[in-house]
Amino acid sequence: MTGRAKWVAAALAAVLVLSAAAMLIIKYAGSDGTVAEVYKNGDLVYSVDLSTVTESYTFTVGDDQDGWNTISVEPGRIRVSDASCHNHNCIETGWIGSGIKPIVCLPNKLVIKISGDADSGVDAISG
Amino acid sequence: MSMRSRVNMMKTKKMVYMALLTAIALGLFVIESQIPALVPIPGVKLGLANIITVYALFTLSPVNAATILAARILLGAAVTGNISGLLYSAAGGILCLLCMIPLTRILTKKQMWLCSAAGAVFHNVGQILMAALVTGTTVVFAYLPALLVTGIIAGLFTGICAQFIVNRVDKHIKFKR
Repeated sequence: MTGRAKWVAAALAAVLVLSAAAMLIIKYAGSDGTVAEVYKNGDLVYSVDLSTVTESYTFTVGDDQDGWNTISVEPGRIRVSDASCHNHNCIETGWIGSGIKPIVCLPNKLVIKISGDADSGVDAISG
Repeated sequence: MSMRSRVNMMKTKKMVYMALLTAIALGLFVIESQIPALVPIPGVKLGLANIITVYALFTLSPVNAATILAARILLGAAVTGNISGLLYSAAGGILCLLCMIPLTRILTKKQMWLCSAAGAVFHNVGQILMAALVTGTTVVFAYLPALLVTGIIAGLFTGICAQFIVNRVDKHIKFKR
């Protein structure tokens, strides 16, 4: 391999190794937070402290026009159980209860993430 | 034959060639879109249509390659009916192309496979940046490492495919870059 190409190959190998390491960190890093936050179109529409949940419940975010997702909340965890999007990546992501990995529904612009901030000031916003 | 008609014939030839490449890229794109995603991460795919993109970058001018890419993205969105995905395809494709163009100066035709793998990195970065913009959060970056790992591997694969093609075809078809 010619000299300059070696740099490209080395940079690529570095990216590969770093990404693989990052994947492991993301997978196994816990986070202190237990507050699940639901964002629709970039706005926080709902949040709940998963550690205070005693009974399971479900609710829906969005409508037919905007795209809807049905969210299930159980003690300590949350997931998308049904959605209007094509690929259902959000549903297949499954449960999250801690860590950095979010649940994302790109077509419906929905993001659910676990935040470390136990006191974000609101328990639920609707409308 | 006059000089003028010779030039016109070359232009037509090139246009036909570019149209052919676009059609192939479109076909690859549409077929690949029928394959169900293996992992729940949005954006993980083989990117077979990029075989054509990287091939065009090394055998035609950057503007030609950009034209083929733009046409393929637009037509692909229209044919698959996925207009909403257009945004991410375009973001990834544009960043990928912009970053691969300088790479075509650094790398040779024999190192096309490497360029493709690098392009895959930029493609995924572009997509994630657009996703962050659209969702209004930065938490989507959590998907970036997984996308990069699968992307580099896919990029290597498509790059090797493109490499095979250029090794075979180059003796028969040559255009000025």
